[in-house]
Amino acid sequence: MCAKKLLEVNNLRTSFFTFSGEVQAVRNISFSLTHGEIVGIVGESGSGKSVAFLSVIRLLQDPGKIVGGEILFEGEDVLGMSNVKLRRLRNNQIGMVFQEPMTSLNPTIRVGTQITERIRAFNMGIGKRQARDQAEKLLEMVKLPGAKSHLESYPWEMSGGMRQRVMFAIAIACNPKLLIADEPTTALDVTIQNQILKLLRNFRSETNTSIILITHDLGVVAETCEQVIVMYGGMIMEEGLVDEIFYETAHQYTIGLKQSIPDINNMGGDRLFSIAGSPPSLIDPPKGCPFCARCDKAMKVCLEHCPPYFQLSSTHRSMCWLLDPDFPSHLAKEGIK
Amino acid sequence: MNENHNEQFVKDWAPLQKEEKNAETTSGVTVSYWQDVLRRLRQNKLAIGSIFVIALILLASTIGPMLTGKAYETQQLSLRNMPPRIEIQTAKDGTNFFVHPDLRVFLAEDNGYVTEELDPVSANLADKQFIYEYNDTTYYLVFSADGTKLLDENLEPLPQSETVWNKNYLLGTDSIGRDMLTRLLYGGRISLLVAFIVTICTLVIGVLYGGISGYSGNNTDIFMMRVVEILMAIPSVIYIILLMVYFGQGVFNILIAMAITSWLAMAQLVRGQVLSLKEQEFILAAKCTGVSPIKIILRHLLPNSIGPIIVSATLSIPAAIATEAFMSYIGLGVKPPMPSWGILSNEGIGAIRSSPYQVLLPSIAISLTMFAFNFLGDGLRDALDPRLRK
Amino acid sequence: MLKYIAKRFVMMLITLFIIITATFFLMRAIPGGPFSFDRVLPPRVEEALKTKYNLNKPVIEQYFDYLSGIIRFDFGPSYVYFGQTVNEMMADGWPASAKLAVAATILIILLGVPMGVISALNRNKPPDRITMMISTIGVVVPSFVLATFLLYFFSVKLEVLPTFGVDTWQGYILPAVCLAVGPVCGIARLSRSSMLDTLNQDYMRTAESKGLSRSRIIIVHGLRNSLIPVVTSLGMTFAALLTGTFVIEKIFAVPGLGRYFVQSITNRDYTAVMALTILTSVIMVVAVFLIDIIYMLIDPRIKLYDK
Repeated sequence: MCAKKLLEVNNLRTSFFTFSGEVQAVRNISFSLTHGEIVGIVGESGSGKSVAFLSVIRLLQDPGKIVGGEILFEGEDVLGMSNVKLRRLRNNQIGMVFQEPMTSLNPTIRVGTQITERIRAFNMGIGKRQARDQAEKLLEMVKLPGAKSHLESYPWEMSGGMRQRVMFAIAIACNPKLLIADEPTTALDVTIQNQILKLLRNFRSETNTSIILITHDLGVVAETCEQVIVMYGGMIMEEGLVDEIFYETAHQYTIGLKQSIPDINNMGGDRLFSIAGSPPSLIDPPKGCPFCARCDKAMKVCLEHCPPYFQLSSTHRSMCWLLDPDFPSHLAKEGIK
Repeated sequence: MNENHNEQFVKDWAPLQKEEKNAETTSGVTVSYWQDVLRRLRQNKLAIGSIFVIALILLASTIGPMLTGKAYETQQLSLRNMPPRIEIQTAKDGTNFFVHPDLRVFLAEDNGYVTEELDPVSANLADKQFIYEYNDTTYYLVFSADGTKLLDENLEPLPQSETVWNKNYLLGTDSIGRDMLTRLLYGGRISLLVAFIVTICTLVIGVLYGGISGYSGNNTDIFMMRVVEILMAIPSVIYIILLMVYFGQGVFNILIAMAITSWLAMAQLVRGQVLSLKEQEFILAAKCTGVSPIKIILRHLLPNSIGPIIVSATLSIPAAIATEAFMSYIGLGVKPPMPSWGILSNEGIGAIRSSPYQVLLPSIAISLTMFAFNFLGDGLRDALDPRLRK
Repeated sequence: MLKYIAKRFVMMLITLFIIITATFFLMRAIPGGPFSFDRVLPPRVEEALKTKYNLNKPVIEQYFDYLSGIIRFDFGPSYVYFGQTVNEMMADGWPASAKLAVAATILIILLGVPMGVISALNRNKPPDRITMMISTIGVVVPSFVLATFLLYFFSVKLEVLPTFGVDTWQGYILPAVCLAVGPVCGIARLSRSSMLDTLNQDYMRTAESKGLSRSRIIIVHGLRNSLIPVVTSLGMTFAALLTGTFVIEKIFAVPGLGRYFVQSITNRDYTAVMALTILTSVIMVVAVFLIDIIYMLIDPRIKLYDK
């Protein structure tokens, strides 16, 4: 149990200032991460999960801006950091793997160079030959066959899975303490998915790097993560250890997500389950619980007031009025399980 | 928003009904594509302004030449090279004089209307003087390095002097005494006429060629486009020069020469549009129901690709004006004495030091027109871009 | 890769062939012949002249004579300036035009691309707005009209630069600027929009996430990709430069090939017109061919099409 936290995010709010208005993509999230943890962030498109973690390394593009909150990396304030320090932070403390391997690599620069430039930015004195050797080792680490020849390849000469591995190699090039993987498997086949996830797990065991795995796929989370954060409408709905989330689910949205997983045993022709409705507008966010409009158990209080977090255990919390101690017990018969 | 434990409020545990949940449905009037286009165009002030300017220019060119009361080819040699604004000097006895930059003296009426030239009585070139006599008074025209001065018998400048608009030739005259205003307006007529007709030809030929090429596909398309590619390797100006040397000058000739060479880019554009649309399902549907190819091209493909075609056509108007002006400038366009803005520029450039207005006026006319059409074309392009739909 | 080059080369030859043939037959087809323009010659003199210049042979024979001449770079005699060959006159005009072209090209490269890139990096801020306003003027107004205005302001009003002729090196300034203005503004706009597109790409975000220095991100990742479309447009830029010289040299009385071309047209010197048309076309086509090769070298994705 590490006392010192690697990453601490407090009350982060991020918005996009567009022509149509302020889109509040992240509406007050707080969480923390210690060394060596693997955390899964689950949510639909538009839940704010990607934006939240782009904010952590301040990689938002216009018109996005962080409007409030605090981000501490190993105790240091990230939001107030100078540009030089920020670059250092991105260079060798935090690595990020992006969603689209197709477009995230520069098509006119060879793969080897895209890796070595990170190494050389970190260690200015390192020689070309040495940097290339390191790059080759990295490609071997991510199990890319024919690593040496691929150093000279261009991204478009490689398949999606290979490109994703390259992205990983780039991300881990300077031994970061934190690796953020944004939907690393979404654009890939299921078989490749498994390989990438295995890569992640092995990497964590070997280097004790913390990993934040952003995904919309609960299956991926169940397999790989130790902790889970469920996001919806720019806020954290539920947070806990993976067993707690799956077996002691404390939020209607999480229940809905679980039910949406197709059951291989039940292929008898029933319709696939999906949560009715669509995500809330983030330009004019609801003042109550974000999930209210799609929740089976919504109550009048849910519409009016956003619920606070209720701690179910030292590691498990959820934002739902059903957990309120004042909630009448007779109605708890239709409780949450 | 979460930390409101201390806030006292009543928690209503009553279940929420479906209607109450869906209170916040997305609203927003759906607008058709063309309505949206018009709306966005109207918001573009530069484009709207340009439409007004174009309308003004068109009006001026069409009826202007008839209103000036002068023909574009009438020469009045004695009144040649008169600027639009002239300085009238008045002597003690009320006689008005106008000193022409070519060192000639004219008589004028009070309102600035120049009447006739006054010939010098004698010349004293040693002292750099011309001597004039009028109304029993002697005047001296003295010229030196810092300018020409008309002095009275006491060798003093005349009491009054005023700069007024040239009343009989509002924009001055050219080097052989023709009215600049009429020539400018008529020149506008020619330049715009050529531009419009050439653009129409570009549209017709380009759309047909590109449409057929794109729709046919396979070898016909490849061949047709190879032809276009080979022709496009040489700038069209070269072709036009060759054709005009062969045809000789003239409005009709330049029209033909430009029409023959202008359709290449439009053909490429249309073919590209047709190719991308061809693959879409509604075309497949039309084919399945047995609609003839020509009908498919005209009724389905063209209306959907018309956006970029309109933009290209609008922007080809200033290009045509520029090309015609260019050709006339090098002596291969419209045949003098018929004016076009290019011819006027050519005639005026030699006198840029002495009578700059002769070349500046057509240049301003060309620039204004080019700006107006370009801004309109840009505005149309922005308005028609579906990605900007909100 | 070789297939690409070979294909382009063949197209180049076909284009040149077409233009040479078209030029030849058009010029020959002009009614009245080359000697009847200015004066009416007594028939015997006309016959003698025609024999001297081989104009009595059948047209096809004349055509092949001409073609063989071109291959030997012999463009024939001038029909107007008796005694001089077109080659001699071209050699006279060549240096001035070349100097002008080089000056204009330097301006285009040094001004055009940086203008566009700086605009893109400062989107919607004052440097961007001002640059774009100026470049709109350069793109919209034809070069000879701009030349008129610039000539008026700098030469007539301010008297800073000479009006005509290139006796001093200052004489080259105005013509070079007028020639370059259109292309500079066009390239500025193009590199701006290309740079903006590139900046929006995902791989730029990846580069930033690696903690690279800002200059490396912009130059190595940004410029490399955004300049590729600019290179492909150089062909059109070159065309504008080439045809621009005709008018600009005439206005500023630069004794170069462009002015010679315009004079030949005015004088109806058909051999000169033909020769210069062909020369212009050759320069144009070869330039585009070279640009294509450069493009192929700088964009590694082109190799994809050959695999």
